[in-house]
Amino acid sequence: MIKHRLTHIRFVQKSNMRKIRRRKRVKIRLNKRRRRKSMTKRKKGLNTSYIQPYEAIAPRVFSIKNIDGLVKFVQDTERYCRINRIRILKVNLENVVKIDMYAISLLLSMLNKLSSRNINYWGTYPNDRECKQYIMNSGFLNIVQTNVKKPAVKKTKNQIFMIGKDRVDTDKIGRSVRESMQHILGREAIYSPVYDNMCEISVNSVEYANEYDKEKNWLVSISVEEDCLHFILSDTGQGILRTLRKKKIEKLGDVLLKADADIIKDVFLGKYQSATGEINRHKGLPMVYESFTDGYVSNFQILTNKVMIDFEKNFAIPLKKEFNGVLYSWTVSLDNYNKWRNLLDG
Amino acid sequence: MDNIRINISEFTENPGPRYIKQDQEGHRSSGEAFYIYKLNNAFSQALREDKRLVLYLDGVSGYPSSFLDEAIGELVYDFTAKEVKDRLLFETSMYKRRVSQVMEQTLPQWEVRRMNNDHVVHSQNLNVDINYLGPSGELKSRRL
Repeated sequence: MIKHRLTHIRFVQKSNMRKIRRRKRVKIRLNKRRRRKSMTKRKKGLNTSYIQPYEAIAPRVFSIKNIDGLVKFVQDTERYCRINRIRILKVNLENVVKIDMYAISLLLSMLNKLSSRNINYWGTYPNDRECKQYIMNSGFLNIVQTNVKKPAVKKTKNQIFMIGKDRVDTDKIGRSVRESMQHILGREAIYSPVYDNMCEISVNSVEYANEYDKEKNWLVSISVEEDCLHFILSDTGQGILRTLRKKKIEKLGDVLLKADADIIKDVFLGKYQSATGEINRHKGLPMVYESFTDGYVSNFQILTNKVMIDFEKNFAIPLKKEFNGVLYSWTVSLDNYNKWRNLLDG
Repeated sequence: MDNIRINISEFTENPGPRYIKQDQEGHRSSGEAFYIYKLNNAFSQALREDKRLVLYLDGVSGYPSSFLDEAIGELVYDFTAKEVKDRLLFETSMYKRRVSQVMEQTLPQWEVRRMNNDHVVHSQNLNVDINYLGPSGELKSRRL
């Protein structure tokens, strides 16, 4: 009798184990089915934009002459990619009939920023031949890959490079300035006003624009234009106005009384304290402005937040759309260099 | 008084940012690096031997404001503006304006910071000993 009972217990245990195993298998099958269903739902339609490429179409006049269109293109593209979590971007330059180094610099800055967010991009050259050639000669091909065959011998004297994300490469800056002076003087030479400007701006970008910004990004463009060199430095931080730390009383006054352009001019005159609050700081931007007032650089322009200022022609253009970042631009000619040399020799 | 001479171009041809942490890795072109690895020792030696320290500025690509401000400023902070004015000389034909800026702005501003006992920021993990002037005028050392 006891034997019979034991056998029953053993059979019951085995049967329970079988039931448990069966239940587990059913659970696994059900979970698989549920997962498949939710994947199909996602694919079907709620949010597929992250696998669909977004096409950003550049305006026909893609240059400083259409500053509002240029800023709108850059800001809208960046904003759309961020909000819709775009993973693939197509930059369509086919309609462009006018382009300059400002546009190329801002475009590359934007693309570099987006690539740090793991957004893959590709694009199309302008249909206009001159514009296409301008892009290819600009040094653009040194930054982006292209299926267009690069010339065997480097024809362009332009330089475009990213200096670094959170560090300043002064060796590279020094080299680039010396090489670029060859175009004006026929030989490599030191030109400290430009070197100082580039270092000041770069350090500023590292310290203030990018300190808490994961997408650290700044770009240098040195292009040869007729008889002078055109320097453009751009970063995609917060812009001067946003990063400016002001005393409360000043801030109230500025908001009520001063235009953005006047605030920026005062920054270059050293009227606001540094973002760190230390009394020995905030010499950099006034020194950059000094190099212009002394005549060592010309055509000094700045584009930041909602304003573009041309210090040479003494006018300011308020922008319809805010630009998050700063773009500095100036030119150097033989006259500028001779002024500086005369000061040293005199 | 005899002179000790430092040629900045032998330390770096491209003076750069303020702090070592802002400089390219492995490079030494910051004002902080110049002060810690060159200027501080040389000035201490000048003090011990009762000599002047001459800084030769030419032969470099340029001087961003933060390089000299940090290097000379820390010198003022550690040794006082009076000692720096008495012992430090500049030799240059290209950067006279920078020298004026240092004498007119950097020295008094850092002296105020020294008097207020302001905190001086340094890059991390330096593990370097630097000299400074104690309250009774004796040379002391501290680790960064």
